[in-house]
Amino acid sequence: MATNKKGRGAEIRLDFQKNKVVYFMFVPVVIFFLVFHYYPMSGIILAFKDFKPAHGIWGSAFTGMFGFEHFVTFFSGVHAQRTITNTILISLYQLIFGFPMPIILAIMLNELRSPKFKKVMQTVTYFPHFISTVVVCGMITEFCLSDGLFNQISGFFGAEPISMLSEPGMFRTIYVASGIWQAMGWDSIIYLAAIAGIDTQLYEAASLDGAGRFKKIWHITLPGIKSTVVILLIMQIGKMMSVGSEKILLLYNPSTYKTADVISTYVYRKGLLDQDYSYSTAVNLFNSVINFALVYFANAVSRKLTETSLF
Amino acid sequence: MKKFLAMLLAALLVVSCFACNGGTGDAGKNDSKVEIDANDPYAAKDFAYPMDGTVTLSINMTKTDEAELPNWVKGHYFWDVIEEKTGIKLEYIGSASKPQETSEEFSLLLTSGEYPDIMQANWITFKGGPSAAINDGYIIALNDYKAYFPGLAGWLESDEEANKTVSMDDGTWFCFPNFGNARETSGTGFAIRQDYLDAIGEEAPQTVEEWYNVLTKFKNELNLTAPLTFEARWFFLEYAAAGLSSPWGVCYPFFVEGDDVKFGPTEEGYKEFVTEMAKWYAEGLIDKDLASVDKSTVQSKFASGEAGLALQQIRNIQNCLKANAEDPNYQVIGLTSMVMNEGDTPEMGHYNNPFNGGCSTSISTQCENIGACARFLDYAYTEEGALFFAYGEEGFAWDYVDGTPTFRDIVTNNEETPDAQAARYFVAQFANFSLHALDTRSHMGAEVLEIQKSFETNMNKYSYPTVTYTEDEVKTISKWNDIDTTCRERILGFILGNEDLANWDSFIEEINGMGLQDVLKVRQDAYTRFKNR
Repeated sequence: MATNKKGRGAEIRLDFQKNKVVYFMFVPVVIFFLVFHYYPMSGIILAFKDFKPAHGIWGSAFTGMFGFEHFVTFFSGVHAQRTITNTILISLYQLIFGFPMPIILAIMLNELRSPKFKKVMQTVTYFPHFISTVVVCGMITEFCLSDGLFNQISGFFGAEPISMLSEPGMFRTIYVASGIWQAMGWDSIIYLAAIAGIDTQLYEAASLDGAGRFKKIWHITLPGIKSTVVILLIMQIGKMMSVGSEKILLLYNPSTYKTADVISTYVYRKGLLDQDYSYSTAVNLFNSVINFALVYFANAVSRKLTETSLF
Repeated sequence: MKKFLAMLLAALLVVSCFACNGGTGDAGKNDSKVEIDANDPYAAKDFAYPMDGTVTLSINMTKTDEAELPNWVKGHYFWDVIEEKTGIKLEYIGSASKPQETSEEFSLLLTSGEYPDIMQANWITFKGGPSAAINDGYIIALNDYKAYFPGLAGWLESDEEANKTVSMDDGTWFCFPNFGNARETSGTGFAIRQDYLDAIGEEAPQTVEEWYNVLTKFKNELNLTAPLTFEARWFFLEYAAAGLSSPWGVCYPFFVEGDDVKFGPTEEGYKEFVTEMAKWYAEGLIDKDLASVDKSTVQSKFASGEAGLALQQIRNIQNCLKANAEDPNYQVIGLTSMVMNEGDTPEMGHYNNPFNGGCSTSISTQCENIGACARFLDYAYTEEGALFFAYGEEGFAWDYVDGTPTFRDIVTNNEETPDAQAARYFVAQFANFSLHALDTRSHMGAEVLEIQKSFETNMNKYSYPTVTYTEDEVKTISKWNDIDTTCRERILGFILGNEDLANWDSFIEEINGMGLQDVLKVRQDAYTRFKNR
C-alpha cells in the first residue's frame, strides 16, 4: 500500500515535470470552478440561518434548533408531504412515459426506408424543441380552454366541454404529455447517433441467419445503444426531484395546486415571492440532497448490473 | 429554477464580500436629534426652485431611452423637464422596486451595500416593515429634517388622517408617500352589455336574484358561453371581488367592522356566498375557464361578446370599448356591487387604500446631501409641482378651461401613442411616484368615467388600512402566506365543484390549525395601534 502510494506520488511528480505547461493551462479552469462553483456553494449555509440582507450571508444569525429550524418548519407544515409526493409522481410519470419515447422514435426513424421521408420526419418531430416554454404554455392554455382545440375534438365525439386546466385530475397528464411532445424529437437525436455507430456487418450477418426486422432490433440495435440508454437513464434519475418550475408556474392555478404544486414551485413562491430566502434555501437543499442520493444509487445499481456507470 | 437560485446565491455572496463594510453599520434611528444649520440654504424660508444645478442624485429607477421617445415628446419628457424645474440632475441606476412588492433586483440592491440617494421602494411589504428598513440602516427617518420639505410636512401636519396613514406607529415619517386621490379609490368593477340587457328585456340587475336571473337569460336566450367572466384569482386579491360577496357582508381577506378586524372566510356569510357562486358555476353562469383565464382573455371575451358581464379593471373596460368603437350596438354600462334585497345600499366593493407603501421614495443612509434630496422630492407636494406631476407642462399638455386643468389633444387624442394614458405618462407622472395625486382619471373618455362612477361603495368603512408590524409580529404574520395559499386552493375548489361543500367545516378547522387566529390577533393589534396613532 505504502509503496503504491509513493509510486503514484512519484508518477504524478514526473507527469507534472513533463507537462508543466499543460498543468499551467489548467489553473484558470480550476480557479473558475473554485470561484464560481464551489465558493458560492458555501452560501448553502443560508439554510441554517435567518437571513437578513443588511447583515449579509455570514453576518446573519443561525436559527434555533441547532440551525435546523427551517427544516423542522418545512416538514411539520402542510406543504411538505404534498410537494414531495407531487414531485415524485410527476418525475416518475416522466420517467415511465417520457424516457422510452425518444428511444422508440429513434428506432422507428432508423427503420424508415426513404431517406427523404426520414429527414422530414426528424425535422418535424424535433421542431417543438425550439419553441420557448412560455409560448408552449400559452398554446397549451389556449388548447385546454373549454372552447379550445382539445374540447372541440372531444366535443366531436359527444363529450361535454370541460376547463381542463382547472381539473386537478388532468394536470399531470397535460404536463407529462406536452413534455413528451416537446422533447421527444430532440432527445432522439442522441439515440440516432448511437444507432448510426452500430457496425452494419452485424445486421448483414443477422439477415443471412434469417433474422427479421424485430429480431434485428431486439438483438442488435437495442444492445448496441444499451450503454447510451443507461447513462441517460442515470442522468434522468438524477434530475428526478428537480421537476422544472417554469412550466408548472405557467400552467398551474390554485384549483390544481393539489396535483401540481412541486418542490421547485414552492421554493419559488417562498423564496422569490415571499422573500423567505433562508427557508427556501433549506427546502431546496433538502431537494438537492435527495437528488444526489438518487444519482449515487442509480449509478451504483448500474455499475453492478451493466458495468456502465458515470463515476 | 435551481440554476437561477444558484446564480442568485452566487451574486449575493460575491456582492456581500465586496461590500462587507457597506451597509452593516448601525445607522438606525439616532436618539440625538439632528440640528439643521440656520444658514442652510435648503432650509431657508426664501428657498426657491430651481436649485443651482450642481447636485446629482442617484435613484433606483430606469428612464426611457431618448431614442425610444416618440417625436412629439422630445424636449417635454417628464423626467427631462423635472431636472430643469428642480435644478437637480438625476442618475438612474435601474433596479426599481415593483409598485406592489419588492423585486429580486431590489433585494440584490440591498445586499450590495451601495444604495442610491433616493430609494424607490415599498417598505411596507419589506420583511420587517419600515422600522427594519431604518434599523438595518437602509433609509433615514425624516422627521428631524422637516425644514427641508415644507410641502409634504405642511400637508401632513394639516391633514391628520393622511398623516396617520403614512407614518409609523410612533409617528416616524419614513418616506415621501405615494398617496392616492381619496375620491379615486376604486378602479375595478363590473361592466355589463346594455344591448344584451335590451335583447332579453331586463333592467340593470341589482339584487342577487336579479343578477342570477339576468345571467341565466344571457346563457339560455343569448347562448353566451361565459355570461359572467373574470379571473379566479380575483376572489383572493384584496377586495377585487368584494362586489360579489357584498350581499353577505363579507369579503376576502381581512376587513374591519367598527373596531374589530375580521377574516372573511371564517365569517358567517362567506359559506353562503361560496355556495351561491358554486351554484352559478355549476349552471354555467360563470365562465367555465374561470381558473385558467388571465386579464387579457377576460378582456377579449368581453370585447368579442362571449361574455355579457365582466369584472375588470377600468383600463381593460376602456380597451373593450375602444375595440368596438365602430360598432353602434356595443353599449356598456357600469354595475354597482350586488345587494341582497331591493333597496339595500351596496356596501362593499373594490377599494385601494390611498397609501399602500408602493411607489414611494425614501432617502437612503448614504445620501450626502439630504437637503437637496428632500427639496427635490418635496417638489411634488408643492402647489406648482403637484400640477406639473399631475398634468405636465402648462401650455404644452394642458390649459386651464374654466379654472380646471384640461388636457390638450396632444394627450387625449395623440395618433403616435397607443392611448391617452400612455401619452399622459410621457408628459406627467400622475400616479407612480411619491406624490399626493390630484387626479388620475381625467384623460379617460366620458363614457368610461361614467362607468367608473358606479363602482363607488362604502368600502372605505371596511377596508383594512396599511399598518406596520413589530419585529415579533412579523414572524407570526409570515404564517399568513401558507394560510392564504390554502384558502385560495380550497375555496376555489368549492366553487368549481371539485370539492363538496360539506367539507367546509374541515377547511375552517384546517386554516385555524395553521395559525389563523394568531395572524388575526396580530392584525387586530396592529389595527388598534393604527387607530390610536
